[in-house]
Amino acid sequence: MSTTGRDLARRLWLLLALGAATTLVLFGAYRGVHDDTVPLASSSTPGILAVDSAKNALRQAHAAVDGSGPGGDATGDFHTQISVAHQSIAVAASENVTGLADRHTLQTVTGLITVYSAWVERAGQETDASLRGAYLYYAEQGQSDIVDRLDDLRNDQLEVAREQASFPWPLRLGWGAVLVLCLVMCAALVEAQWFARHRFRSAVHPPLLAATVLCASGVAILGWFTVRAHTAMGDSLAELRATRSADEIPETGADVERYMADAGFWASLSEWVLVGGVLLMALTLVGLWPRISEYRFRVPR
Amino acid sequence: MRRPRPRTLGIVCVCLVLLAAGVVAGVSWARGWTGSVTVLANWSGGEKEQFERAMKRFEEEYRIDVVYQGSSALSQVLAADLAAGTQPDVAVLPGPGELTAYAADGRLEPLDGLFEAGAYDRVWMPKVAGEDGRKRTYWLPVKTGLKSMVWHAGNLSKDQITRTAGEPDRWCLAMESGATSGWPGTDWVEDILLQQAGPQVYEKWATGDLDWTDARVRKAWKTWGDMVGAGDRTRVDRVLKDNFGQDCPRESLEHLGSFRDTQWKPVAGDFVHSSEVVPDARTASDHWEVSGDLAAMLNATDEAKKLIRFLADPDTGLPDFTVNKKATAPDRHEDPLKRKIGSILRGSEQRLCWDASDTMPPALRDAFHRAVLHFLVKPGELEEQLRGLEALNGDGRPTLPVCGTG
Repeated sequence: MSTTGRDLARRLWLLLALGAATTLVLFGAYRGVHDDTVPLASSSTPGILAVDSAKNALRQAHAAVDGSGPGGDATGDFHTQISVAHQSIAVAASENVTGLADRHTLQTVTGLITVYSAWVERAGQETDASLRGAYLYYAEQGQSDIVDRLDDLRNDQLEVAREQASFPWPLRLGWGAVLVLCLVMCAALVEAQWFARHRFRSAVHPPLLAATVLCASGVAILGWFTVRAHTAMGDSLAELRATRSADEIPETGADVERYMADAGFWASLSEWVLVGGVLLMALTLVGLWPRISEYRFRVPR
Repeated sequence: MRRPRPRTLGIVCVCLVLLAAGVVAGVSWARGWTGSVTVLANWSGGEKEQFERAMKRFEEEYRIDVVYQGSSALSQVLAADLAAGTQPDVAVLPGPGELTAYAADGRLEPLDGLFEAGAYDRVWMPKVAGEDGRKRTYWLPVKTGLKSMVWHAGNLSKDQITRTAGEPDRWCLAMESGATSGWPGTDWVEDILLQQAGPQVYEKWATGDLDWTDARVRKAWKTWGDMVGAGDRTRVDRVLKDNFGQDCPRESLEHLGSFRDTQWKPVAGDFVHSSEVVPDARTASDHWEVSGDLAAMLNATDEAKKLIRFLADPDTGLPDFTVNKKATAPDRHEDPLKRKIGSILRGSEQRLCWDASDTMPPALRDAFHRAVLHFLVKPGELEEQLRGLEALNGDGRPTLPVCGTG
């Protein structure tokens, strides 16, 4: 008695199981990388650069006061820079990179800037050199306290960005499993194609061929996007590592934006992994089920 | 024995993987936070480390993440947070003045029922009026400090201390303290008034019932100016910029609170009551100025309530000195200085008066800080400064008992 029907059914179940496993592991591994691309581009980067802007503005504000005469800053540059610092802190708070601790620090910094400004204004109004010197000294102490806190906050934000750009061992394991499963799946599809051709003396089974191409090309394309995303995140992180001066901040922002320009597109493909997986299994089913059906209803002569 | 079938092996493998995933998820859930509580305080250095150690125990015990921020600009930060509606869950403020005002505005959550109020003397934890006029408990003393102290190296006789106190250059004096620069000077003026005029006058002045231009208040300022050499430009320029936490020369005297014990301990330092060096102090003047870091709840979350209960637990190791009567008695302290300070704080309720500036409204308190800086430079303009302070001494502010009445 022929065992072809049973062999085909066994191959079908194996291919469906492999297809499901490949799809799920690929989905997890892909999301593991691309779920962090958008937050790195749209939250961590602006948050870190906003902290840099605030620090620069505070330094420039203090330089404006330091360089002024006994009457204080007459150019208005001090108030402009303090406004910039407040706006930058509001941006950093809205990006919420490190969560609750981030917001709490920025609220404290806002209060400290108010105190700092008050000392500077008092110094500007003071006619006595001793008191003016003392008030400016208090302002300077306050400014360095604020900058220290912003430095600490920046380090915490950078740590978050570093985690987002990292490729830890579970992800390496996941992508290793994707490659192995993809190779096994393609080999099983080729073997099923060969088996079917041999038993039925027919030409190529288009659905099985399409499934093979879909599996190999899908994994290759998504893998390539992942390599690009990982490289882009690494480049972005390198831009963010060093504190930028006021002139460099827009350029750094633009560079990161350029690196991560396709991040949204890459991330949006994760849902299509599941669609592709369903299609892969459907093609496998379409390729083998008619042959199995032939054996189910074939009456022995 | 039969070998297991491949399908059985497969099922066993899947079960093992699921079990391992469950264990990993369970462990990660158990190790994660169950909530968070934000805390705003003004501790730094050793006090901050001691507080953070206590908070670590709290975090481990309750799995609640404590997000701590410390700043000398506590008042300004809290005021901004309250205005923006982003106040911390718990704030630890130095002194009850601001808290009394916040309680009257309905900004604080009552603490009644969260811990045993009887464990604290009334002076530390009076019931104050809330927004509806009902009196409740609104704060918990987390850490207290003794003032009215004059530190010395420990090898000086009473006569030597009195003689040294008469030489302005021998006082270790420093005014810089970030947003609150000037407070060491306000402590001086307050303490001199307390020792010269007594607790009744002191309390009237602190609560706004005595004018700043009153002769007794003026005398306290002038006494201080004479003692520390106000107007001596060379010295004052340095004093204004020196930080209050600076090291003091061994042969000097210092008028600061009990938190300075760590500074004076290495030279076997000791302290005397300030009435022993303040000119014209009342005979047998025995009142001590005190300060306290008071925890108040601004958001009545479960996490904040748990933290308040934890802080009120006598076994919680908080920065010195606790006034929880159920905590270990101060006379069992190994350090003789701490024993002495702790015993005064825990055993002299009727002789303790709050630091007056800590009971004043923030605007008046801040102006007081600036006025002492101005006075140090230009003592001749005292009258103008006092009139300016009197102008801020508005009526109708919520008051609380300043000195212990038993």
